[in-house]
Amino acid sequence: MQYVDILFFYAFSCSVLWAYGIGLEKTFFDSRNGSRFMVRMPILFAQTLIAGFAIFELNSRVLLPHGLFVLIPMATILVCSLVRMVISLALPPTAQDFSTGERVFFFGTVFLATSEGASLGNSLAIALASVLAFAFSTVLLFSVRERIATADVRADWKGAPLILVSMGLLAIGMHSADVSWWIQEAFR
Amino acid sequence: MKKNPVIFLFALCPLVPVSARFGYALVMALALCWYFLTGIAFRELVKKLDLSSAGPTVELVALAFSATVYYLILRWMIPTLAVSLGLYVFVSAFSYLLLLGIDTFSSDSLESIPLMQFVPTLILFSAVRELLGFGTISLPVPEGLMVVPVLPGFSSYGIRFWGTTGGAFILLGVLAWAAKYFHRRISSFRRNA
Repeated sequence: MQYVDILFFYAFSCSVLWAYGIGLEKTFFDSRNGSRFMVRMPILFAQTLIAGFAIFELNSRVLLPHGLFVLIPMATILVCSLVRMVISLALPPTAQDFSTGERVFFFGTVFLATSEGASLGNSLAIALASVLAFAFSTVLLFSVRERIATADVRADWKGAPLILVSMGLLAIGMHSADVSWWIQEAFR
Repeated sequence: MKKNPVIFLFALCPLVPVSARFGYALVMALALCWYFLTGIAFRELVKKLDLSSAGPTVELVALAFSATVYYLILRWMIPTLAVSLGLYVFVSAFSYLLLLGIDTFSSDSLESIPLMQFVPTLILFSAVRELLGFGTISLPVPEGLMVVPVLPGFSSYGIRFWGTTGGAFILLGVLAWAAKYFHRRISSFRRNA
């Protein structure tokens, strides 16, 4: 039940996207027609979980016991870059993505998961929930874009302005799950 | 580097939760300037060492190092703010990464970094949010944040919605619309003149 709570909390109420703003730029671009979002999803899952596992172990077994907490951000970047490099070696060029947006989302997710997770299981659950949040948000934004494309709105509102307003409404919607009484009652 | 205004707006997103208070935004703006200055030094170092393909990774590690140093300085000078901001000091580095460019992190043209426009935008955005939401302006002091009431009555009747993440995105959308609208109006005015 604890892991279900964590998954739900970090996928909706306090996701890396809506509560921390990490990966919103990637969601914005990946929700366009013709993006390689679906191809990249399994890779994103795999690299986030592998890097999350490696960094949590490194932090909890080496850095924190020796009081080297100041090295955690640098170690996170190094391990993430290494995992990305190893995984990209095994991938065909068409499935690779070296964009800053993906890098920021990946580093941010792993950093959040290892910072906020009290145990390895918690960290991996947060990492998993963060990637799920990204998937949900991209699909939702894709449908928002479809509606906007066929809607009769003024030219100035089309594109980023209306997407940002929609993102605001999505953020409110995602957070409402945390405060609504009926969900609390259902999980009682 | 792609000069894309959308990326400029989305670079603000990691700072949305902290930009509800002007004082926090000032600390984050200083962090971005710090990353920029240390980034120049590290970039020169990477060039001198001629690290070729490892260059971008070394620059990223250097950025993490800069963020850690900034966090330690903040913890020494304003410990209360260091506790409240905590993770966001490191999140601001992601915002800086987005600002640096989309596909060419290791760009040579430092002068094209839109930091000079981004920092005032961040400060103005947070001032608007705090004024609309709380009617106050907060400033960082050694004890934490000093809140100065600016609009009387707003502390009780202000629309705190603008302080939330959802409110901030809607505000950003309206700002993006205003920018597009005025850009179009100015362009058509110039064409007709």
